[in-house]
Amino acid sequence: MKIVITGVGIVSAAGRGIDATVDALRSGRSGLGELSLFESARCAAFPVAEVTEPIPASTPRASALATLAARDALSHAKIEDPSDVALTLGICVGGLFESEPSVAALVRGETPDDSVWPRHECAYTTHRVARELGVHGPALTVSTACSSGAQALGLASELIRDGSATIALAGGVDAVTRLTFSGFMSLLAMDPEGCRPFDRDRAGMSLGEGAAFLVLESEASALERGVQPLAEFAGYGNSCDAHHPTAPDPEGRGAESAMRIALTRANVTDLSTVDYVNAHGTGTPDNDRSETAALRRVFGERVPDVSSTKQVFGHTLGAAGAIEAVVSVLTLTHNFLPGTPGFVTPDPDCLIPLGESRDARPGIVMSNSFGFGGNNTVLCLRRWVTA
Amino acid sequence: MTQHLRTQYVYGVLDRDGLRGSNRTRLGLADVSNDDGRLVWKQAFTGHYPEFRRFDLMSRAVTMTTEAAGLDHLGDDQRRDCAILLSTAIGCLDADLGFQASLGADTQTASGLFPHTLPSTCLSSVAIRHRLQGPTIAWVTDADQELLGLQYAADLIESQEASSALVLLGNALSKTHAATVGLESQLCVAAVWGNATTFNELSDVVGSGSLLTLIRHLDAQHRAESC
Repeated sequence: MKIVITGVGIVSAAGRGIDATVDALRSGRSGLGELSLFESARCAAFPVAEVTEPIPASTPRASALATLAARDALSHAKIEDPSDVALTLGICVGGLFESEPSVAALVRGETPDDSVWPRHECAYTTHRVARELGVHGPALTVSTACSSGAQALGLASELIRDGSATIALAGGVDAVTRLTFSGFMSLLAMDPEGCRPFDRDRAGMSLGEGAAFLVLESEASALERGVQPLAEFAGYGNSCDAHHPTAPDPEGRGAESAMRIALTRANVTDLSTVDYVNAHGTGTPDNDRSETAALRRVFGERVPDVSSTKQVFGHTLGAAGAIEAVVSVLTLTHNFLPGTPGFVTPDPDCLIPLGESRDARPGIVMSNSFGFGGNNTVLCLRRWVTA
Repeated sequence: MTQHLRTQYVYGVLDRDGLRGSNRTRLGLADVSNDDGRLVWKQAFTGHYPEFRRFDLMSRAVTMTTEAAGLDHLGDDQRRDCAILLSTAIGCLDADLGFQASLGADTQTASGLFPHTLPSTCLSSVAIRHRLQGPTIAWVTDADQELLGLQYAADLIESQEASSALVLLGNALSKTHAATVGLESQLCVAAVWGNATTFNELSDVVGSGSLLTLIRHLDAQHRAESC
């Protein structure tokens, strides 16, 4: 069964929607700026990619971001009645943006605002989106760290393949929180100058927030509805490093395995037909070195064009895989390859990414997402052509 | 979903009655934890496991439960593609609370706890322990979605993307946090599904009950056999 993507929705520091996103990617505009979501002198030392789109204050931030992107994706796919649609959501932080004052109060031994607990867990966001949009199909919440968004897409493709759903709305979301900031600061994993993926002088990641959703369905379903697919969801791969709780395998063996599985499932027999890889490319010294090793193990001397768009969006954690899947779709529909904002000086231990965006007509693209605990998910998309 | 796949299991359980599993582990909760309720490896198993002391409660619970199930029979090929699938309702709430408490204290404690504020980190703890390199997925589920891991395991094995799957259902809160937020303190079960050495065979379990039902059935059967 050929599975296709028929709609995308995205909200991030680059703006809301396809035009704003393409504009940011083509121009290489950084989404990083000063922290304004909450007050913290320590956190404010690091740039962050915040969403500036107005968010209804009455809705939990993650739910609001996810609902915006999901609604746009359904509209893009021309789905007016989503009642039978399945929903898979990748998320790491859940409703922590609203609940962390209560978590802090609890820890201090004070009486917390108990009304926030139902919104604390990740699954709340999934159900909130379903309720807001009237989606009554299977609703699944995936949380595999920074690969969650990509994992949600893989899972959605399985739901379609096994007949559990005809159409699936799959994506990821996360909002910036104090806890996340504090955590990455404690790991010394953030770059005060902003992330510089694959650069010799890179010193860590930059946090971001956002949401992205894609509509997946069988090609037959899309054509029957009279909707032209944007791209083919050709395959995905999933593996575990089994190496370290936070650090990637230095030789990239887990990432290599996920890439090989994705390529096999996408029936890519000639590796030279892969035109572009949207790297996980966080800008941490370990990730970029390990990802380089993995790409070289898979592609040998002929690594395709690679770029990291993390400075455009920040590292959006549970949303990253979905946002970068949208980027990958846009390379196919808008005929360009994005660059790597922040990259200046090559690192002898890393591949040299595309520095600036350029026009291109890719046929097959891949999107890498790797998470804490060695969770690796790789998506493979193909330009859709009429049979 | 596959309804009649011939399957083989080993299992482990950690709950208020203690730690039990296919490898003949039979210990009360007090036998595997210290006075503070903290799970202690060397009280349950022989052999030294230095990494264990760095784990949060959830990682400790699933690692101990998996150990009680026993994965020694898995060959290298099976480990290379063995999936790990976790369903959890309360996720990493315990680590969230612990991490928040550590902020403002020493940075080392905070940095050690932070990775555990993700529901999926306990999967890597098990993966590292047993060198399991197949697909890993963590779902934050509702009570009626306990079967998700088993369903997905069946799909993965049927499509030959995994030869075995470790299916986990885990909810863990330490004594202090359980008392504070008023939830069940510890429940963790594990089952290895698929191409594993036989502990037992149940051909029609999928679709007829929850993972918990399956595990409890196996547990009761094992207890009866042990008598």
